[in-house]
Amino acid sequence: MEWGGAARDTTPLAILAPLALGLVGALAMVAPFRFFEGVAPTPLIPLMVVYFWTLYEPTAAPAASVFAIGWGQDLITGAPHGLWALTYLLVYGAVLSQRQFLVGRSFAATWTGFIAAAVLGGAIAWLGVSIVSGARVAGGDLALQLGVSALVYPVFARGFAYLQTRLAEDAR
Amino acid sequence: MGAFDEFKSYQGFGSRRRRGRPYGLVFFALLSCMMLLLSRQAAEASVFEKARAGVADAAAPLLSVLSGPIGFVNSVLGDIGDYFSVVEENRRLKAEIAELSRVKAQAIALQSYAERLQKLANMQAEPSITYTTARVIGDSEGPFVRAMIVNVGGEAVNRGQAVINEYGLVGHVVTPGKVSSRVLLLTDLNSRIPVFVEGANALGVLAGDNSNRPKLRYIEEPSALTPGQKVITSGDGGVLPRGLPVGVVARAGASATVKPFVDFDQTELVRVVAYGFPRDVEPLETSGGDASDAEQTGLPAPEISAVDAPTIGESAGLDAPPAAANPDSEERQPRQITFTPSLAPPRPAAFEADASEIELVQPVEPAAGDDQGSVPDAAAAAAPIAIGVPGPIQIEALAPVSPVTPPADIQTETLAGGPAPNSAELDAAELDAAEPGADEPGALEAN
Repeated sequence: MEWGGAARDTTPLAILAPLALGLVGALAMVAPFRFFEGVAPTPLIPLMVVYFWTLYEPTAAPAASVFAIGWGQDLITGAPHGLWALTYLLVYGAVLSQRQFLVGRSFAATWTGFIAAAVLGGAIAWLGVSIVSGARVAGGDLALQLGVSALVYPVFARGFAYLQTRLAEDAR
Repeated sequence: MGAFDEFKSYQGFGSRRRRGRPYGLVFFALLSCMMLLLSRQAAEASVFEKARAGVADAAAPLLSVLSGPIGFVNSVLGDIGDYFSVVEENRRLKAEIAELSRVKAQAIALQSYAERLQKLANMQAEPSITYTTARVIGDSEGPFVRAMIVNVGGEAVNRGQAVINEYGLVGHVVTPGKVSSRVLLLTDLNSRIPVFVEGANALGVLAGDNSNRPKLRYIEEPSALTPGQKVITSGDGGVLPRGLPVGVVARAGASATVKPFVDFDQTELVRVVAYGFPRDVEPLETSGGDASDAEQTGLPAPEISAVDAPTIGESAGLDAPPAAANPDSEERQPRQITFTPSLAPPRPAAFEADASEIELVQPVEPAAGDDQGSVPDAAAAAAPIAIGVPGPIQIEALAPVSPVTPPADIQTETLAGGPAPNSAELDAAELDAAEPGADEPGALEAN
């Protein structure tokens, strides 16, 4: 079964996995986690999901899924409509264009790729909010959140890899 | 990075074939871009608001379940941190208790006094305020949004209602849902709260900027601000009640900032304030105090008769801050306003004046053989009634029309240095002068 250009071995479950994980990650953004009494922000799990699946299995994360993850985050967090959807889609496009370069390299290289993607996404989101609000908004919190996301990315990437490996094996 | 060498084998779970033209990417990116650019206008659109409320409602049960264990973990982690500062915390709490005990005694005394004055002035009571307690189940402390999701909705919650906790104002409801509601924190970029700075007697707007120190804007005299002055809601606009504690001035000057009383990271329970400001005000009927007022209030029953009078001042607003905002106002000499009932205009007109400049005094009973009303003897007159009530108020006539031998004047004085920070609106529209010649054009003398 093909899903809009997905590979033949891409099952519906494989398609749903990143979408569900991204939405759960968006939900985690509003869960009342107050790490270290609120000093440490919740990492941007949806960004990790988008980056990971775009890099390793883009056919399981089509643009529609990325849009749904981003808009879901907009809705649940109260951000301007389309902000995170546009951010993730542009990150998606950028990672897709560099995928041939990144895939197959060391994890450190892909980790560096994630940091670059986070910086790009942060810049897009900051620019979008600044345009919408008509003012230059503070970017310190965003930088902190992206920093935390970059720090914990290896942990989440391991979990994503395990899940996707299981899904790929089941598809065979 | 040996631990991650296993990732080297990742060649992609699927094929590495080149994808076709990214029509989907372009389409959804354009759609997102359009949504973003229209979001300012579309944010109020019912379809988007309903979608947002629907998502919050759908997530509410899961968030409610999650918030329990998350809160427990947070409290345990917080308790561990508290052990390191327990002595200092104990000392601080003792000092706070002592301070609060003193404030409580003052508050009780002032409340009693205020009730008597309100009774005496027949002041219209504040609209009734009801509270709905809610639990915080969602906490969006993202980089661009400062909001909370609380587990109350439906008819109990309406857009714009204030949300407070035990320390002060948290924010206001922006998206009420069926079972949950989104609360925009006062630190959010889009938050604008009309506030009043005690001490500086200044009105302003507290504008969030996504930092922990929202800014004070539209302060006419920023130089009057000093760090530590208390900031409360001003009640302007009638959406939020007046007097909700907001914070203290953290930085003075043109770029003044406020440190909120509320610790948003520690807020778990809040109260939604249902405040119904009367928007369609019925015309007031002339009424006044009587002997029973005097008995209940302990003050002599006033027998003043107010008259129609032209507007002598402008109500304070953000564009025109009250005169009390002027730091020199406390040094002004009392201003005397004299009404001449016999020369009152035939039709009522709105009477607006700075509350700090108005004081109602006892009517002047002409002395025997004296045709002119005279200024009452300060010793004989009752204690001056200072209408120093902050915020716009409406005051009815204090007494039924009392025949005063024309052309007896009713003299008003000023309570010098009155603390009234805001304007008082005295609607004399329904007040009639009963003495002959009351329909004649009035005169207002303001010295």
